[in-house]
Amino acid sequence: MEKVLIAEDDLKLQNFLRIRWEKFKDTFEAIFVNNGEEAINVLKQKYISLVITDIMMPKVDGMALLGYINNKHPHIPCIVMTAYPPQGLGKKHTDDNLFRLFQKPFQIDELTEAVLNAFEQDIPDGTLKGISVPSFLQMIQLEEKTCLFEVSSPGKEKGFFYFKDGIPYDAVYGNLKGEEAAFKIIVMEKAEIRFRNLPRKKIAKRINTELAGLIMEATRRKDDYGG
Amino acid sequence: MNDNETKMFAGRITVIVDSEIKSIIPGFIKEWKDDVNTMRHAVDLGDYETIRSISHRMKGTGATCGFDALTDLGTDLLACTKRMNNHAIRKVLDLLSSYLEKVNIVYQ
Repeated sequence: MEKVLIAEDDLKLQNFLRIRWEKFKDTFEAIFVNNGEEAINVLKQKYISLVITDIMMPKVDGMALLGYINNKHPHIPCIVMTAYPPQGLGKKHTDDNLFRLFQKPFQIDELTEAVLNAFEQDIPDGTLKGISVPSFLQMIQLEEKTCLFEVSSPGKEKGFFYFKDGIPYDAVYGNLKGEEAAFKIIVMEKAEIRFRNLPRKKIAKRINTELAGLIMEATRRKDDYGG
Repeated sequence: MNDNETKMFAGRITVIVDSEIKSIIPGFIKEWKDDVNTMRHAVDLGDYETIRSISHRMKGTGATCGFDALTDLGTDLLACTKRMNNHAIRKVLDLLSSYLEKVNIVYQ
């Protein structure tokens, strides 16, 4: 039996999904939790086939939950429900095979189809990458978050990306700063993700390019020079 | 919400909802009415975070359950809350109250 973990703080939406998915009870079990903290506790105890999460939730939000899944369970497919329209950067720039953004409000039949498709997804060995850095950055922008986003990858420097109200503000990667650091961070693979406390000191705005432009330039450089 | 949409709530509004979710809809309507009252109180206190949080949920859930106007009004509320425009927030809350009082639900 497949198990779908749904992290959603809106009890109305929980009830709605519970009723609409009653007819699929022989195909999958839907487990509902109210926030990212409860979701992480379930993930520590049960095998989960698919996670569906909202972004804005109390205690531990969806972004931090996705960071945890990316670091500890990169094989679990994730569907993220966001209130904002995803900006289609395309597969070339996001390179995720287990991650999908879904805009709220949604058609229940479309979400159900995505759930059922996720069970049938056949990912070739060795291609699992978790959630890509560009996908995280895109979510931060969509949700207009202010955060310090840490990215680490085996054998590489740690990268830090600072966002203010969803706008890329500054990045640091080793000795690089601003957009040059951002280009390096964006293309990091098999990256571990963490959300850090905001620094107390004022951060200078050293990034003046929009996120989509940064991602496209980082991808172009990687294609041309191998990163 | 423009003038035409405002006039829309002068009459009765019919919404068609899947009969599969009939059992939960009366409770939803009551909770949305409670949410409007909570937001009225919050605007008096200048508690924009409460209004933002409730209207965000309303925007996401309304049309998913078949109530498209709740998604539209939730979107308007979020915009007014961002501008901290109490007058506009109260105006949208009046529209929400009117909608929730007048909505006629047909299950099929």
